[in-house]
Amino acid sequence: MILDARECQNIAERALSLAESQCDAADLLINSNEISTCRFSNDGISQHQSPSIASLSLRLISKGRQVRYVTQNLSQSGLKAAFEKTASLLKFSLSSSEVVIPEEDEVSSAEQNRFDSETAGLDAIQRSKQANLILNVADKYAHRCGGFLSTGAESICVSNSRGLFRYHKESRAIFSATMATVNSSAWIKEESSSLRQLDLSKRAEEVSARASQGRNPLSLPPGRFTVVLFPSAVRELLWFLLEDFTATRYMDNLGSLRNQLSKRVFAENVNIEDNVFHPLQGGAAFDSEGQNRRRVTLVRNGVLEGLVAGSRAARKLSIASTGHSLPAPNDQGEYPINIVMHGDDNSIDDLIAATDYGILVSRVWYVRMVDPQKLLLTGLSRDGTFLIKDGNLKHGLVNMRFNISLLDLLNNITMLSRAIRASGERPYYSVVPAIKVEDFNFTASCYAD
Amino acid sequence: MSESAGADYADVRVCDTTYETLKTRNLEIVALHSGDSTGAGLRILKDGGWGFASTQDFSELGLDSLVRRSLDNAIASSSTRRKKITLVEEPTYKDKWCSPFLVDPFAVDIDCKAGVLFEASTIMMRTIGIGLTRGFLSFTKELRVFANSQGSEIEQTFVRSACGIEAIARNDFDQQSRSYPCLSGQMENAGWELVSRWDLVGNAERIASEAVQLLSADSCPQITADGILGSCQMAVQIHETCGHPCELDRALGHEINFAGTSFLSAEHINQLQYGTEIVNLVADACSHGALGGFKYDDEGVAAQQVYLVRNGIFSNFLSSRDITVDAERNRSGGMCRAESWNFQPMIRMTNISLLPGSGSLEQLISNTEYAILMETNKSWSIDDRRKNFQFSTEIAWEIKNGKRHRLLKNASYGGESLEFWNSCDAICGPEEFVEWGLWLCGKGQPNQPMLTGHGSAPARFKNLQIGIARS
Repeated sequence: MILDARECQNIAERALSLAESQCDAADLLINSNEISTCRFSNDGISQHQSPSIASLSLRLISKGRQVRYVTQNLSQSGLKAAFEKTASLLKFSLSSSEVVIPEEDEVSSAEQNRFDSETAGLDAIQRSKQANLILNVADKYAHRCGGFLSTGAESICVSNSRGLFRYHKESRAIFSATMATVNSSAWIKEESSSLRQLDLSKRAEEVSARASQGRNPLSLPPGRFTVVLFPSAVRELLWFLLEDFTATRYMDNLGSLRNQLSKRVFAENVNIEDNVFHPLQGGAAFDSEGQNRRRVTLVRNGVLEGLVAGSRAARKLSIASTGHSLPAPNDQGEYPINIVMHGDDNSIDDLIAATDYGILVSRVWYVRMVDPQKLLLTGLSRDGTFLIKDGNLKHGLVNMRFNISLLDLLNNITMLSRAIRASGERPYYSVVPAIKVEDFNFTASCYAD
Repeated sequence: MSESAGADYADVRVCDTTYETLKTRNLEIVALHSGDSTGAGLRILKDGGWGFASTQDFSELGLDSLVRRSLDNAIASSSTRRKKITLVEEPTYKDKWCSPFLVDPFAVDIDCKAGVLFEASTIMMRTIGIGLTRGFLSFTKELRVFANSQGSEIEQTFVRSACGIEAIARNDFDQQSRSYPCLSGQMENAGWELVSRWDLVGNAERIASEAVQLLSADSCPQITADGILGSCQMAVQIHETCGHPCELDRALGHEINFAGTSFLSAEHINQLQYGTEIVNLVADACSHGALGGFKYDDEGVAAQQVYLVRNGIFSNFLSSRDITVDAERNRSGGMCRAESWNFQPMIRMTNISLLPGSGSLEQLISNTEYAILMETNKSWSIDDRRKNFQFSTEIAWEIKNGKRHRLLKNASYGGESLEFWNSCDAICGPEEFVEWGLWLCGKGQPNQPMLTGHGSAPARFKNLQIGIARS
């Protein structure tokens, strides 16, 4: 069971009452999580895990000093021990005038309901049946297969000694499947707060079809190509830009967007915002200090228009917090985690149809930053790389390595699809389109079998 | 309880962890975090299917629920199994063990800890051109108690320490950073003595100076040339191009959805020329001071040293009790590990190390006509079968006629794993051998960050593609 609002209130009151007499202020985060995951491959389910975790993260503040302690022991004796340890560390922290606990923020009327009790309560047999749907498709086509299904729920609560209390719970359904022939593969990953939104059988059939289509891939020499990137690939690449949208990094004069506020940084068709209220988004509508997440336009028509700012950066800049604080004390300050990149009224097939000669990249893998100044990234295509010729997928291709500047890529977008909720390996919520880009630099073809 | 509920096999891990992290940014403490974590994970095998559940609730009700959830998962898994899971034999053990350490890091005053970082920062900030410095110390004490239905009862205590500093230099056009001891620092199974031994203060001036020099250094040329990789860069190279491909669950396709597969298969054992004859790579959990060291893995198998590559020939995989090359003949290599109590264990690296050759780094340089010496990883990327890699390093030097000729920035290199190891023509000796610790190895769904160790001395490789990271 995840902790409900009343249980969190009870824990918060007990913890804050311990703090009351001995420090100036305190705040806390209570997380609970019960998400079960079954992992499967052709032999059947290989792992079936049901962890149950709850933790309290307590910050004490006294005379401008602050310290944080995290415990998973939520009993009265556990809270008391956590408080004593935290209090004993306070004297070692340096005093700073920046340390402030915010007052109650007006609770947003747009508080999101992202809880589906059926998804949260799915049992082991039901999960196994869902996994079997995918395994049956693999059996049908004699494909190698692997993937997972997670279902369950999590909750977050923020409270502080100035009376603030916020609570959010959310159900989660995440599934992913890879289907592979002897020399080609395809992949999908989807997530939602409701399992009903995910049609596993249908998706498994689509993935199998794409794997079959990519059989006997060709190896293409490296070079610069027109490329269509699936939304999941766009999502993984955009991750590397997110830290540059933070006020702390901007003030530190670090990253690729330094001194670029109000200047044109990307192509005119690039519009990016942080918007937790978007219907396809996920997560709580408040940050780790309980402040409302504001909708922040980051890039409008290619111009860097805004940054997210946590309470520390906001004070330094004399602006309002945008509600993106990370748990203090920390080095980073804030982070955008609800990215919406606006698309256009095209399907992915429209992007392919409008390409005379190019490459379709379904998934990118092991993308890493090479040069943060230029946002130079390297990585590889994986699980579905295709040659596009005359508007059609002509042939499967061997995976390829790329070295690209994300700044260049976002200046070379010529078409966008409709934006969808995309899922991947990086921990953030994203609603992004597929994109067609010019001049995408592939530097090597991976080795075929 | 599990047996009476009908389990064919069960094992339980109870973990009790305390940790403390201190981070500085210039002369400010930006994080003083500590915490604890206690819980139990129960794994049940029933009719050839695994179930796992975990809890923080040690009451009778909590434990009843733990058994029920784990058993339900096992029964449900079993119903999908096309091939039933079985376990290879392993003796039972009753043992207590503690990882080696001299000074309990939790007994050291935080003022003293912060003092080390402040002193290192002060020195780095004195160097003109340094815009930002960072430092961190981190300490963990973890009790892991394991028991299984076959009779093992094992108690292991781990004391781990980590430290690191970073100097960032910048001007209007460029930004360069140097880290010490390694990118993200160094972590070992050790106590406070690790911080003294790595001497952050004594190396602060050097790395700050190198970071500033890199701003005006030439960029690494794009060439095919011999490369000498420093010990700390070798750690990442070993991790990615030997450790991961040798994981048997990957080779069998179980990890195809996320971590990927492998270019290796069972037919390659004792057949495949993995590297030159001087290449010997071992998985050595018995090296207890290194980060991947232990006495028993998380399914109660005793630590072993297993040759993965012997005299250049591929010899073995990393394995577990349920995933071995030949269930009839093989014993688990003792590489089944879980990040903590709330994860089901799986095949993971231990200490994957390249055994040393002979001679010092300076001797190797003096015996080299032309090469690029690259040190301290900055960026790493490899395909899902672990063949095509590309790495970048913080710093490099052009070696000409046996001498460091010039400093180079933005160095990178790439290649194919087997070609790479088959081009190794020199490995430095034990005096240059360091067991590096990596603590964010990712695998599993949900992702389980894992602690691994990688020992290596600097080594030389022929005809590397260098300077390839360009947009």
